[in-house]
Amino acid sequence: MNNLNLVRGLFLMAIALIFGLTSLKYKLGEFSRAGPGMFPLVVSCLLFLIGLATVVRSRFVKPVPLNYNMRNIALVLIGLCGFAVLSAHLNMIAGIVFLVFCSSFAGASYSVVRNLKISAVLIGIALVFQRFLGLNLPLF
Amino acid sequence: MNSFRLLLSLLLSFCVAPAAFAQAYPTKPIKLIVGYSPGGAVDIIARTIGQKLSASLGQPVLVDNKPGAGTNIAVRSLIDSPADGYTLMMTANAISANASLYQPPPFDPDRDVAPVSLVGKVPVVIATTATSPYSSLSKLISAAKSAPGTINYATPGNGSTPHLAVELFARAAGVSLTHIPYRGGAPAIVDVIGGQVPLVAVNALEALPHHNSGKLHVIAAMSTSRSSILPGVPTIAESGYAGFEASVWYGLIAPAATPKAIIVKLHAEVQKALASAEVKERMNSVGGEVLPTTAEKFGELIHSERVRYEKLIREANLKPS
Amino acid sequence: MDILTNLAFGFEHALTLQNLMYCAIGCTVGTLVGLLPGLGPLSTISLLLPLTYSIPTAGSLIMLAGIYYGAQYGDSVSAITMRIPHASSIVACIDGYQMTLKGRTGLALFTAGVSSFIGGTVAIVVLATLAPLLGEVAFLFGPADYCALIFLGFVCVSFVTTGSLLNGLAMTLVGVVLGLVGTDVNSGVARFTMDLSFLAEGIGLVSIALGCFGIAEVVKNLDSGEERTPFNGKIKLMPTWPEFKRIIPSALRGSVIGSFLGILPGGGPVIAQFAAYAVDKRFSKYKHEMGDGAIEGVAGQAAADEAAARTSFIPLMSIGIPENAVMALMMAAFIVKGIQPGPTMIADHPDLFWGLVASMWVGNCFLLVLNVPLVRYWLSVFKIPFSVLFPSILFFCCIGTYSINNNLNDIFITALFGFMGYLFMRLGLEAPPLMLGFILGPMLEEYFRRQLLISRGDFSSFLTRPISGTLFAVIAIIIGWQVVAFFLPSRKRKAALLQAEQ
Repeated sequence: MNNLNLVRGLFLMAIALIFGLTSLKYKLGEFSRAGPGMFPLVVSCLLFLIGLATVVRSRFVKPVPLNYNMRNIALVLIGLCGFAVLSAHLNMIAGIVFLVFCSSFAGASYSVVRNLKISAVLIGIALVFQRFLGLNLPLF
Repeated sequence: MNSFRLLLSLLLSFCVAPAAFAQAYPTKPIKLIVGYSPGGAVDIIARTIGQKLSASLGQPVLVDNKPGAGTNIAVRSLIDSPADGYTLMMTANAISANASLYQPPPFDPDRDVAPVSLVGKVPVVIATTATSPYSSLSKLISAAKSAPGTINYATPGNGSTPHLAVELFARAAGVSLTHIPYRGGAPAIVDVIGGQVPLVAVNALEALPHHNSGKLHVIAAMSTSRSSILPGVPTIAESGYAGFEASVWYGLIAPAATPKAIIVKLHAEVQKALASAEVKERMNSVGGEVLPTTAEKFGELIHSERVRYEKLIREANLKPS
Repeated sequence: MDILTNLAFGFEHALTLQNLMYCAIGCTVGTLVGLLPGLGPLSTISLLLPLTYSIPTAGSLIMLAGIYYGAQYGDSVSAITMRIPHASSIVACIDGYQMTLKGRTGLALFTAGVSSFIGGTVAIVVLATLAPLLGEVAFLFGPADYCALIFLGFVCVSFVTTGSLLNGLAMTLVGVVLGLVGTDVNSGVARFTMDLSFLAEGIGLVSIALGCFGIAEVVKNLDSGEERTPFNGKIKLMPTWPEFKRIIPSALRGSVIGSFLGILPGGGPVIAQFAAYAVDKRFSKYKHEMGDGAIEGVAGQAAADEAAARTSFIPLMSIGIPENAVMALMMAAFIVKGIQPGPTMIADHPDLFWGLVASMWVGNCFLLVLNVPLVRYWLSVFKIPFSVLFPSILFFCCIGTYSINNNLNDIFITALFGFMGYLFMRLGLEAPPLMLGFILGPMLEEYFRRQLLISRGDFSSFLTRPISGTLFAVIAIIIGWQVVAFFLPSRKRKAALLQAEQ
């Protein structure tokens, strides 16, 4: 399963299946009077075929190892979602601090002082956006 | 949408009349949703009224076009917006028709929206190209009778007044025409001029410039009397189908829970706008008229039209195509 | 010589102090707006439209037009420097960003600026000489022809992506299905929304652009582990003469392609940048460098983009038909001012028409002048160490997403697409075709369904119309050629192998 080409094909087929099977829930209609499910089904089928072709092709070309590192993307995503959740329930300043501190773990080096400085500058920028550009930011 | 507004208003603040700043409402720009693409009749009327409102309210009125699904996307967006008077919508008849046309009903026009004011109405016209064989309604009907279901007609969308008007008229005439929906009058007109579709039913406001330039040929006006703008065009009654008059009405609505005081204020400002010579002249120049009424009367109109459409749609078994 | 008299007449109107000021404001606001992630010309013009009611007609139209093509240029700056695209600068993310990685940001921005100038100038010549004639082109295109044109755009991505035709088409189709999320335009059915009300209007373009490009790129840099060193070298802005010579042919090719595709309604300008890039990749002297930070990769698409932005005014002003959402707003601006755009507009309001055309060239010069100091300002971003820069980029992505609808839920969508973008990147799938599919997908569905409705479900109607038939033939030739090109070398290799064995 560590073959990039194979995983890519399977991934595309999975997307095609998710959308294709969901589109069966909607009315298909006929070609002369296509329902809401017709076009998504056609496109999903095409995508499935391309995924299948990619899988078949992966049998014939040299395997390429798949590299991934879930740590960094996870940290960044937690930072973004935490920003949204904290901004909704507490305020955006907390969100900014959380975003900076959380995502910085993904960086090559970690420094609390630097993070505090970045947070301070970003909060300043957010204040400018709110006061002078009229952005509707829930800062407090 | 309404972010960055201050940056922009700072740059251009000299453009907006600084009147009425002292009052509580409005303190920020108002969003006016339109369910059809820009440049169409509803959009033009929304912008004309919006221009008057932004001058009298002292806050910019921003038109936000959300076309598609016969204005259902726009109505949904209005209903989901906070009922604080900062989100309004310029609607047409579709709001009354869609509750019966779409299944399950996407919303309830009596419950989910608050009427603010009726604005005016414009008659529906049926047009074709200058070189078309269907140069009159009678020629169209005889052609449609000899080949049922083969003649297409374009409209601004499912459930739009022109769509319903043509369906009802065709049923009465005993012919069947195929409906091709668009996202507004302008793209429908392009495909008719380009010869993709032989007929178009739109409101007079959108068809007139192309009729005047000779690219379109209006064959019937669904108004009660001949329009002074289109003296050579017979009305639908003259063509033998009295009772199938249809006009598109336009009105301003708000989310249902909008405070009464805001509706009263908006209603008063709309009445002022409707009384201006400019708005009257624009409506009259396309054979339409302004219709100032109370908010309650407008609510009754939405309801009575809904009852009427419900019956017609059920009898004709109309479905969105 | 009529044109020269007319243009002189136009410049008389464009060069009044007042109109010069409106042109300058428009270009500046447009450029600034283009720089901010999430705010495109469409939202800006709809915001500013009500504020222009009290400006004189010519001034307000000149300003709105300035915002439009100014934003078209400003867009490319964030694409080149941070790999955050707007609809009009997707292709700039490929070679433009590669040039940035090689420390040639200044050159990339200069190339984009000069090419935009060339593209704009060519388009204005087209606009001034052929406007009434070319307007009629829009009437020739029916739904089948638009389908064919969009398919051709999709096939163009096979040249654009550095990978294979298969990967490019796969990503385009993923983009198309993502574009389907939301309320169906015909039946009103909510599709793939998982009953989430904020998905009813579809996924925001900004979420996809920021997620698949901006956030994915940040994580890619983080994964590579090394701190991207702050750029301390001398900022090189002007190209050398040989470099400059490379801009010209590519920009001219792009201008011609952009001028033509700009006239066509729908996805014209979006397709134009991909088409220009594909042509450069095929015919440029430096095609081996394309995708790797070639000057041509920036020049051609920038010129096409700018040219298409100008010529898209043609259908509006000559036949009164707006060809995209921005032009529809311009049409509303005309009508609110009491001017009906259409066949009689040039005759009725020559001062407006020629004034606007002339002001476009004035705006062109203005953008070029405005550009140089801004480039220096933008380059200073690269003196910030990456460990400081990346939390800030994430912050701007959040603010950009949020401010579109003032909705915090949109940030979750952006985060989701950050994850998707990361997966795509790791799987060797390129994001630009995804954007193309996402933008053109809904149009494709509309035209596709309409054509089948008109032809009563007859697929041969796609091939029998002259325009769509020709376009599909071109597509067949391109795909056939790709397949042949795929098998030919392998056969040669086999032959060589056989020879070696013998």
